[in-house]
Amino acid sequence: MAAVVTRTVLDRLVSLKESPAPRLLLLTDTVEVCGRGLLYCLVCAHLRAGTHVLYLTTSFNPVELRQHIKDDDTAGKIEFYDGATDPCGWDSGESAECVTKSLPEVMRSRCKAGGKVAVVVDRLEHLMLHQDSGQLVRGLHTLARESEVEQVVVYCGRDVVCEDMLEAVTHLASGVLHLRHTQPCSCAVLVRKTSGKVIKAQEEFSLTPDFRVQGVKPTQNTGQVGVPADTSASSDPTPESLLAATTFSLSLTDEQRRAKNELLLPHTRVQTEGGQILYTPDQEDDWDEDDPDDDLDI
Amino acid sequence: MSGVGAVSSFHKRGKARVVSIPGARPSVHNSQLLLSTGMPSLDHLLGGGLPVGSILLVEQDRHDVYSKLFLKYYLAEGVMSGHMLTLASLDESPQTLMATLPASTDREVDEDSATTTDQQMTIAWRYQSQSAPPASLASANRFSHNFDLLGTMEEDQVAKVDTCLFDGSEVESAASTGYYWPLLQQIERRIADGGLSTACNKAKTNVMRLAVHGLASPLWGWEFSRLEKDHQWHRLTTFLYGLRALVRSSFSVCMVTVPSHLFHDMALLRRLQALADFVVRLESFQGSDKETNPIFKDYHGLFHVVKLAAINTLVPPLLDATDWVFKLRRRRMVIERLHLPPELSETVSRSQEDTLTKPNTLACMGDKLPRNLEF
Repeated sequence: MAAVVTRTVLDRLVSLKESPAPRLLLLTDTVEVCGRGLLYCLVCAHLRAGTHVLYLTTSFNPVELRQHIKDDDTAGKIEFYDGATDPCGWDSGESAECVTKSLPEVMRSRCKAGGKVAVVVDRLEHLMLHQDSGQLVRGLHTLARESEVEQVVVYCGRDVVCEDMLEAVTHLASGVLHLRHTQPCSCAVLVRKTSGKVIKAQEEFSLTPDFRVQGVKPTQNTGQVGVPADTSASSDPTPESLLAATTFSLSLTDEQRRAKNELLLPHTRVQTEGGQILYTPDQEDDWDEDDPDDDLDI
Repeated sequence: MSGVGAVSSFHKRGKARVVSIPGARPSVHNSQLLLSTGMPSLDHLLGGGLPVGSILLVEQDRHDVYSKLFLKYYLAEGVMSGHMLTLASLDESPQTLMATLPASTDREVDEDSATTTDQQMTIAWRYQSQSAPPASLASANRFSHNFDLLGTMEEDQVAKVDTCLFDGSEVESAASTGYYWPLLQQIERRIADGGLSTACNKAKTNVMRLAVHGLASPLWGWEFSRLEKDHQWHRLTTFLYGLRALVRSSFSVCMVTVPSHLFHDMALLRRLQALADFVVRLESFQGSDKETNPIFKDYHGLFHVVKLAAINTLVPPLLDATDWVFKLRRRRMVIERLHLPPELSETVSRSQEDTLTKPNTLACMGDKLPRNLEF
């Protein structure tokens, strides 16, 4: 039941107007096009909406990230889990817990301030270096199902992560964004709603300096979901359209309708009066009132 | 039929051979006991219903939209007939699945009598004096029930049924033991508790419906990505083999849905197909180029019957067509034969007056016939 998309799915997805929001959102990019901007858009949208963000980073330092993502004037605050500085523990002697332990355990150890939480996993492929794939996928699934977690955003590069991991996360995710290397930047969006509806779209967009998405419109070339071929019966025929199509005049004016309702049908007379047998004798009939059985002598 | 509302007074002599299990009936081809899958069109394709002791494997469509409906019909039918239910699902919470079953459209028996007395028939007035026909059988004894997808079955009706849900939360150390063995043990316990095993001599009054949703998905294990040469499939195939053994030796049926589009190596799918009794595949048109094909415009997907079982018979029930499609209407889902739409293009019928234009040649004629010999 995919819809031919006229409104922009990406806009609603990024500004969190899509309800219910997809619990597990996968954002992929390649070497040629960087999806980090779109990721920061999602994070800022969550912060502006007042959701606390738990950001597990494995490639950039939290200090560097704070230069881009500012949470000073937003309702929600961001909290970083550092898996980038020293994940294997070469300097400190202990490997970082946030990358070796399963995700739900890491998030559970955070002191609960109440309210909704969004979790961002930066660079899934780095997490895969430290954890077993099955455990990682199960962790993502469990985390997305927790009641306080509003959304889990997983960011990975689809040319780097192995195929089966990508397929596994795509199978479990309710929203997928694949960034494509086109001019201008576009992405393929897939949203799987809980009602069973699946929406696919290809849209191009651009980003503003304060990490908002603008100028979203569907791409014009071949990737778009096509309009079904035009046959003679394009939609289910309604009675009105059928009436308009015939050359007979089948509709009734008010006067005709009144006359129709007042018409006395032959069976109503019978219903009211009861049945009668009307017999008119022919010329040859000998109509005799006597009963021929009278002269029987028993 | 004599008298008003009297059923025939003939009774068969001797004890009836039919086993008194609600919602089951003997097959017309062989006298196996059949259960309904909840969808009459699917029952027809399987030869009347699902035989007790068999496994139906459903290969999911890409986004698991329609196969979930198949599962819900199956569970709803079990609730209406009062069967024992066991549902195992890791992808989606089994509580959510049980809470969103379609509502039944069979009205209760005693509601009918009040409505018919006050209506004055205008056209069929001669039948006014006749009484209403005798009430149909109570809904628990019927074979197949009608469901309405727009409504949801009430919770108290679902709660009346003996249900067991498996969502993997009670399994400790799932990474090492996996979910397969604990699930098999749970099923075995249920069979023993219900006395449904064929080894047990008690007369059976109920059957169990097993449903496993999304088997072999990434949450169950990583078998979908392994190739045959890695010899890592044995957990999954042993599970299905054990499931088949349990189902065969007890009064139960099983429906398993599998996301087969994830499998890297098709040999795994072949093994699962060989282990199951009935195999069907759903291929939905969402997002593929078949969506714009005018042949398929009324339908939502193709329905492939991959395998039909011949249990205790030589030949499975034969189907008279090979192309089936499924369509999701607002209130129910049906499986139909694929009918090609009529060819309505203008080139088929030619105008008789116009001799200047070259007529469309028939397949049996070549181009070389002279024009005045055309038919």
